[in-house]
Amino acid sequence: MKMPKSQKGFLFDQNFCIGCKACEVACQVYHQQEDMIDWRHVDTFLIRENNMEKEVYLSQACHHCQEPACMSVCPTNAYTKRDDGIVILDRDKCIGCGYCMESCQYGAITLQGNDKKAQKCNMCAEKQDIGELPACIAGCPVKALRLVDIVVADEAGMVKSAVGFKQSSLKPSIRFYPKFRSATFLG
Amino acid sequence: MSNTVKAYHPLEMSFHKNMLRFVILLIISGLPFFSKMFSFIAYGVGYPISEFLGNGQPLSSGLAFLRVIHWSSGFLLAVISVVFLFAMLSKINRLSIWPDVWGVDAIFDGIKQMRLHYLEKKSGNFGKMNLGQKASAWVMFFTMVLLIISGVLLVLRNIDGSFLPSDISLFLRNIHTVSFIVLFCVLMVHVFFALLPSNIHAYKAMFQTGEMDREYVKEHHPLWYNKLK
Repeated sequence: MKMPKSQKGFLFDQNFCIGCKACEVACQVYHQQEDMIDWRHVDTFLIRENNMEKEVYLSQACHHCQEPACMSVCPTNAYTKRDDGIVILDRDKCIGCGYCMESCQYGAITLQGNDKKAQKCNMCAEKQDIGELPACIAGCPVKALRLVDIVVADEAGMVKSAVGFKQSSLKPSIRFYPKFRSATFLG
Repeated sequence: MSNTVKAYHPLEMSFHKNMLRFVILLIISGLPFFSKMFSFIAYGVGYPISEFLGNGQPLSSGLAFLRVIHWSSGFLLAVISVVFLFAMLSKINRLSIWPDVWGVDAIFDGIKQMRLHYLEKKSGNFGKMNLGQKASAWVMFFTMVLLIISGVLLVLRNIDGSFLPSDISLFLRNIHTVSFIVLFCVLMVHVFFALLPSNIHAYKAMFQTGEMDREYVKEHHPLWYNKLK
């Protein structure tokens, strides 16, 4: 697989996310998604911090992995990786076989639309191409979600783990601000 | 006394022929989904379709068409299999797939008889089927059952995306894949032995006459011959 010249990704600040789901709604509105379809979703987790239970949130969509499983398993070659690392799905090629959905370890792909074809976050590539931010990032009121170059984020000391985030060998293009304090994950 | 014995009922012959057709269709239509190595099949089918539709998507068109063939063939194979199984229920105890003798010693003896027949070109002490044939029949039966069940569930998941969670459908797809690999290996062995010159009587019986020469049966399938008497 040809490696992209750069790798765009999301930078998420779990310390400041308030779980308002504005990113989820912004994505749904901008992409005019059907009911029950959400390319981006916010999950809630319970942690113990300073002997107090507290909720933390994780906003997730397609992570535009550096080695995307969806791309390798798609029999119709509907997935391509752009030079900036964004994984694009050509829905004209999709036949709805579901291989990509099964292979994605993050549940970022759904087949539940009316046309039974796969769909997922495209990092608002068409907006980025005209210099705008993705809808979810633009919609976040506390700037907990940002767009970064993964190499730059790594050099800046951003981390690859957060509460509730599942590690995988697919090299997901998401980074997290380091935690402020140590906490115990409760579920 | 007739100098031939009835080896296969017309229903068995018909089922075998149709199963052969459907299995070939299923393999050809399933391979491009099994691995991208076989995309050429989808391209071959898809080019004329995409030209006709004018959509410029030969691979997707070919795969969509092959999937319809796969589902249709699988459905028809499942239907004839169910009909066949019901028809066979009436004589289930007399089917030749059951062991003539049970136990570990019987297995070793069965292997010895197969070696006599295939390697030393002597007459083995067989029933209608030898140990290898019975074992492969059972493997084919179970893998086909797994293929049909997992296939039906995967089709339902394709029709309704929320029918199964993705980890369950991935598990089912793995079951489908592994069952296919096992079945394909057994089928290759089955076809190889079926086409051996020493097996010409059984081959003709299955595909042409349904009958085998009595003297041949007496010499090569003594246990079966004893049952016929």
